[in-house]
Amino acid sequence: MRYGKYLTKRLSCADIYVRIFQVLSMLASLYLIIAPGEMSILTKRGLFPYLFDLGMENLPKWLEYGVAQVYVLSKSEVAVCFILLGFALAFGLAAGALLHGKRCAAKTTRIVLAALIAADLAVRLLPLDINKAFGPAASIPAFVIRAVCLALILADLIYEAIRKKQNAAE
Amino acid sequence: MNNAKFTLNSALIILIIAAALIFFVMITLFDLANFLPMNLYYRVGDTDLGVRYSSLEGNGLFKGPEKTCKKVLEGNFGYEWGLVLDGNSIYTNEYETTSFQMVLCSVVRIDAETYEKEVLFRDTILRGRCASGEIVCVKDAVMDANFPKTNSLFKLYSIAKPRIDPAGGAATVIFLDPATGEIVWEVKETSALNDKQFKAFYLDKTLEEVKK
Repeated sequence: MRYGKYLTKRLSCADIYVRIFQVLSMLASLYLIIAPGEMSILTKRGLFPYLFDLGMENLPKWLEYGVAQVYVLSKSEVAVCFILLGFALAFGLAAGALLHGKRCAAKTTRIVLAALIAADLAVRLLPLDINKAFGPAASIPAFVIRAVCLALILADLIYEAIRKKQNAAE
Repeated sequence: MNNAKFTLNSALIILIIAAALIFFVMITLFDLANFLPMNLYYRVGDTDLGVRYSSLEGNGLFKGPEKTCKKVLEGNFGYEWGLVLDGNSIYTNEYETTSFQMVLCSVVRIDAETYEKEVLFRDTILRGRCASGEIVCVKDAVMDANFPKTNSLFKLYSIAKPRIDPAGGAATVIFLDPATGEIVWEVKETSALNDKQFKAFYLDKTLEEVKK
């Protein structure tokens, strides 16, 4: 109960989006960490391959394409894993600092995040090859998750605007 | 330390460190496992060249008698699916492996006199010669040993290679003129043919019969 109150007091909707992103990236990396020890994971579909597909689809399309290019150039799954985890960590640290910093910076960060997610969702609707790689089983849930995250950030912005109005009225 | 919080960022740092340790151990074990004693030699036609797989001297193209040959070109070249010698040109597969031992294949042409290698097509598998002499390759495909239908890493690979079918089924069968290495005919293949079917559909026929 106390931790629940802590969460609602300390975490804004934008923080929740950042945590969703980090958790999905961590779950995706598990496939890469398990694979060297259990190669049979590559030969059948299951939970960990699906989590990898979902985690990769949850990345912004530009990052997904960048990770794929790094994979082709380096021929190293290890590099892919560290890029996934490294980006999730860097994103979490940067977003945390900005969202809990000055009010102006926090608002700008939310607006930028919302714009980027909206653009990403628009790209996902185009009939591009990059949108077909992991199949609808992963791309549709990822689309829904990112749409929910966009809604969360917009909710934050709306709530801030309402609170500002109320403070001004008082 | 009493007030330290276990945040998601901390969990990520721990996961990164654990991943680094696991990869170091497992990939070192892969390298040790690959170091099995091996010494296989395949002569290239009637030449004094041969494709060799050797644990001691490494893999590549070797010149000279089998017991005393010297390496002239380093690389993992194929022999079992078709190595084509046409005049001074050797057409063969060259294999590269990723850190998780996925095998990637490219078709290369090697000059038998200067030993210069030219990569003709990446993600392409040379399968042999058809009845009329053209070289038959499967373009924009990966090997079945990589389990393309189930392997999620292959799907990631196909994002950067848009011509590769992420489902691992469709590919393009190309016919090369052995004198120039240029494509003279191509066929979009949407079914994954097994070795027997591929031989019957493409390798046992002339190019004219395939075109019909």
